[in-house]
Amino acid sequence: MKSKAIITSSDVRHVADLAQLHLKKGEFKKFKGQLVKIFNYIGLISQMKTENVKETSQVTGITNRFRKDKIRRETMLSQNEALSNAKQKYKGYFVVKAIFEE
Amino acid sequence: MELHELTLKEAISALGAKTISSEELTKAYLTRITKYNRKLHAFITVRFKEAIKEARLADAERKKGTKKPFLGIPVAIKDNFLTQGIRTTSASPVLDDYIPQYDSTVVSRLKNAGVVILGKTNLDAWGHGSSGEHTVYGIPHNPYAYGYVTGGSSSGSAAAVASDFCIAATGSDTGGSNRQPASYCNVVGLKPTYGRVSRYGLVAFASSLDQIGPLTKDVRDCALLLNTIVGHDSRDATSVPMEVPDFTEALTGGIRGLRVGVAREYVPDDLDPAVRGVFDAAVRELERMGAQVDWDVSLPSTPHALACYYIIAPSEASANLARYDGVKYGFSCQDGDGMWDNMEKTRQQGFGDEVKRRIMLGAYALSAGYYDAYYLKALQVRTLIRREFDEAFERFDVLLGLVSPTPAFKLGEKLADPYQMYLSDVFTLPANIAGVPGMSLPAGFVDGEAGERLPVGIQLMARPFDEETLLRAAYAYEQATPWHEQRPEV
Repeated sequence: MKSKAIITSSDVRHVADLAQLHLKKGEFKKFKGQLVKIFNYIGLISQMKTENVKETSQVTGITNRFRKDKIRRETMLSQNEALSNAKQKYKGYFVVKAIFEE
Repeated sequence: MELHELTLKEAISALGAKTISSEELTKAYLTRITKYNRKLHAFITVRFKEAIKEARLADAERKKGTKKPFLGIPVAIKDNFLTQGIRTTSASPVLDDYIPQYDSTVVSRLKNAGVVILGKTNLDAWGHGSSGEHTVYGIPHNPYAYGYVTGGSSSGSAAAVASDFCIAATGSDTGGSNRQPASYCNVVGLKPTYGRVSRYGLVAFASSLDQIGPLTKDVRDCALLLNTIVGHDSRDATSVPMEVPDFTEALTGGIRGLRVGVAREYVPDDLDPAVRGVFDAAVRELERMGAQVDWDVSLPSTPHALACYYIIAPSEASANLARYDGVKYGFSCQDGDGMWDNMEKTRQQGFGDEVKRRIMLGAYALSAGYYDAYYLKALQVRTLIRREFDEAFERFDVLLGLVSPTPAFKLGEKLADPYQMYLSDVFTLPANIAGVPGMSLPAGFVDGEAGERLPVGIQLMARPFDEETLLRAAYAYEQATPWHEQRPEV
């Protein structure tokens, strides 16, 4: 990894696309400058020697938590409850605009 | 003493002896909130009518002889905890009208203990921030110094406890969000060990780092609240099944022989001399009480922890927030051309700058071509940072440092420069990276530019799941010093 991050406008555009963020024109420039500065600092970690070091993705060490395959009433929502915050609904369903092109 | 000045411990005794009622106590807080919240913006939602109703019910229950540890105790809840039937915004316009269908585990445990919920406190939207300024519900001011930040992201909880708007409050801490505002507002803030407290129903920021803890007026209150909120929860697979002690039993007052390591990197050479003075006085106090202090312990990876954090936290945040589509709840833009366009526009219009920055940082670190260099590397560095803590804790019972390199700064000072803002968490986020418990304690004051009194906090860290030693050391220090008794003139 290079010590100085080179982030171009097209990188910002690419990342915004990945993140499904619709950026406005002025936002590209502002975010680019800020992201470059942050990535230049983040680049510090490239100095750390990590050969043969295992990754830590969580700290408790707990793995494979199983539970009985039983319905848990206390974490269930009724259909009405599940829909209670939806802006658009129809006969017990969430409504979205068409996903597939015709 | 005025009602609103009572600690949790004192209020429990007074309510139990029936010298005060929950209704009186609740009204005392609501009166203060009515008077001062418009200036300090500690609360997003205040439950004026409902809280009084709940207080009356609590008083009626007490008459009937019901015993609950916190019956009728008025508390505040950070607005990223789901509360059934109570609007939960996470301080984002996206969730402005979101009414959760269920309670977070911590809220349900507090309710079972009998609390009255006064309202929901302000924060940096989604927990992203160190100043409290990333909110659309009024920017919180520091109760000690108007025009200065409260710290963040548990900005409103810290301000509410400091200003006597409630007895205690809940907070969540991903990189210092309980400890840093606690230090800026002169209250006690705890981040327990990762896995101690269930995160079920907490609006997720970074799932491997988030941990819930109390913000309180003193250490005993912290232990009391902790007793109620800890413990295994089958609904959070990362909550650890283990015995839960009575944390108040750790408050013995004695720390003779306690091995304390002062982390050199947490007290850098370029510190403001007044802040250093506060810190040194705190260390000398611990020495005077018989602690064995080593003034020069090194955790050399501290600067790397910041870099590591700003890869891991945004990566997890971008994955968590990728789920926000505006379909099932919250703000939804309908002007788009099809579902995907609606979703992008919903996110564009609903998310603030800081959230967008973090989502993009994370998406970049996780993207093809950069994943190994950033994300995987950060996970390896996380292992090294944990090892460093493990090694230090072989020699010391607690590690001691500052909570933040500076006291509260002025509103607006760091908003345009996110990197400078991120630096204010440089001493708190290593505890989240390593998963160890950390605690902020009031330790004194320094002068602001115009002579304001700005609080300074010291931070204690302990081995994973050794909150008892943390609380023992904290309590002993607190008993020997007057700082937690100070109150701001709001």
